[in-house]
Amino acid sequence: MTTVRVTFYLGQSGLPAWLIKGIHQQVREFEGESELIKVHSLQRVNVRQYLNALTFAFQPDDLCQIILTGDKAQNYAFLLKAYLQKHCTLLEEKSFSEPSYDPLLGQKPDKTHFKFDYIYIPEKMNRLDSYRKMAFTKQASKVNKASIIKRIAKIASIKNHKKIEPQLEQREQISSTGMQAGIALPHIISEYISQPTMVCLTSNTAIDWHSPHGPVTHIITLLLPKPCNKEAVLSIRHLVVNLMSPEKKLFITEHHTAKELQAILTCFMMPTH
Amino acid sequence: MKIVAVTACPTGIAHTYMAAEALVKSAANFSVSIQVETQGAMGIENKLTYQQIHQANIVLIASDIDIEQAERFENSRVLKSTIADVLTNSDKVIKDCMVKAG
Repeated sequence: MTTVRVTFYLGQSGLPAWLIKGIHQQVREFEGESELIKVHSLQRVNVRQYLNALTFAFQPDDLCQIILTGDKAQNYAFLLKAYLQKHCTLLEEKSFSEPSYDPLLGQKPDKTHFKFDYIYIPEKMNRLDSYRKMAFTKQASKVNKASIIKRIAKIASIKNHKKIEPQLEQREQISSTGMQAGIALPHIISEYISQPTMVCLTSNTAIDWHSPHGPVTHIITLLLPKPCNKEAVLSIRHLVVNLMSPEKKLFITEHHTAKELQAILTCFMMPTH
Repeated sequence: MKIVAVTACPTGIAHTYMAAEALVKSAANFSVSIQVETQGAMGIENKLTYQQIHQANIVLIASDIDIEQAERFENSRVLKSTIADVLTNSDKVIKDCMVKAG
């Protein structure tokens, strides 16, 4: 049994009937389960009952995901991607080709203006990983909170990382930013940050974040400049309120790629339609 | 049963609003009326009026810092908690409010 996720942005026309019908046709003969998710609200519909999706009031540029679960999920995902690429903007680490932001299909709706950085902490570094020049050259189980905070500070600003690191540590000393479901949310407003920045680190191995809620696998760091603008604070406010939902926390932790996490977190930073 | 609450945390961009959300949800679980003022990076929002404070059975201050305009609550029955208390178990904090309010 394989599970494949296909994540994409709708175009300017949202999800018209012809598009959901077309999606259905691609996976019509797939014997496993196929589910369409409207990411912002996490509303889900079985692609076989595709007309129900029309009640979800999809908007232009909405972020969607289709989850295929079954023995031939990879094959059908390939067909689905080929179809969606013509009508939507696919999110993939290795795209069929670079996404073309056709005006008819719309732009990737990153309205938060957050700079985004992502690091995956591998369980074991191998030769292919070494090109990333990451600080984490040991097993993830040996990576501790202090080394991650140090790394986040360096990503945030090479010039000011020695000033940012103690600010992040001070915040953690007040209370751990670890939450339920394996997410930590370190955050600061700092005079040493030049623009709103999100640094996301993920690990398949749980990391002790010194939190009563247990260890974490996803560390979502929010760094705001001082003074910070209202839009950035509002974006974070939308995100953290979304993070109060156990379902949304779980959805985030099911993802480990930079593009997907950036898209999902950005989506959760948007106000409800 | 009416609760008025203030949430505030040192950075004021995340836990202030998360705690407010948690309190509203828990209060709804107990069918308790709650008004939450947030004191975050955007300043005071949903500011509690003297009338709301006067009519409340209890004031909950969920904060890791000294709050702004605390003098408004000088004549009220006040329960203090940390943001971590609220985020760990908001139901218990609301229950504590109900007990203290009598």
